[in-house]
Amino acid sequence: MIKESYDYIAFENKTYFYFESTGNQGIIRKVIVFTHREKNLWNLAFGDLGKGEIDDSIVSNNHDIVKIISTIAKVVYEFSDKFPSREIFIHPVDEKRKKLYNHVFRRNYEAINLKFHIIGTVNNKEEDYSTEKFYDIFKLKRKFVQ
Amino acid sequence: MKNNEKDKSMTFEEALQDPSLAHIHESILYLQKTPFSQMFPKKNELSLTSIVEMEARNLFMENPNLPIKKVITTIFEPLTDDISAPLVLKLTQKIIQQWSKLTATALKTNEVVAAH
Repeated sequence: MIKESYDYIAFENKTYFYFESTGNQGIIRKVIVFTHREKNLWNLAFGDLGKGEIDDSIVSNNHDIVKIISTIAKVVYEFSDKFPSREIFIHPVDEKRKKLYNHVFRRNYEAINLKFHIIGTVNNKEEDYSTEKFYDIFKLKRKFVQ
Repeated sequence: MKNNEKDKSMTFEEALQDPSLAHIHESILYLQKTPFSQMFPKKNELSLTSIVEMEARNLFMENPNLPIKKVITTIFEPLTDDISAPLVLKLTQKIIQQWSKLTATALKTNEVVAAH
């Protein structure tokens, strides 16, 4: 699951992470944010940091998608190691990202499933994740909370 | 950035001490002072909408006769306080729509069952 990844900086008690993607488009500043939604539910958000704003719908096309996904995965594990009782809510902002996230979960199901219960949502109905299905939203619950 | 395979992360305080990272201090300061709803407005609305719709469904499963006022307050109560007024209105509408839809579906199902 976690292959080559970017170095990153964690701050705000490991709820904000900053890294730089390097590729044919140059250096692109990236941010990953976990924000509290309700109870123990935390929303994972990710985007490009432009001049004074973040764009989470942009496709950077820096030809480093695998490295970026690996960096996000590493950050998710780090966040969850620090806060194992927090559930992570992943909501794609568009169809393109929905397809990408479904692909990532399907391909890496076994690795993710070792540490997390994966819950998928289709039409506002939550269910245990199945690699056979296409989901709108994903939720990660850490297994074996200490 | 720090290039250590064993520990790739560093804290903000460590980053501030590193002169090679001066160019990103401004970005990090921006992130620290900007609320999530401004950073990710679309995702903020989408995720809150999904949460309230899912909670409405869960509540309906528990008690379909719950008064709508109670439905709305129960769903809003655990949400964080930083939701803007326009978004509170939108989310309230979503809850009412979802509840009405679930009620209508349940009534239809009951009618079908009764007819048989």
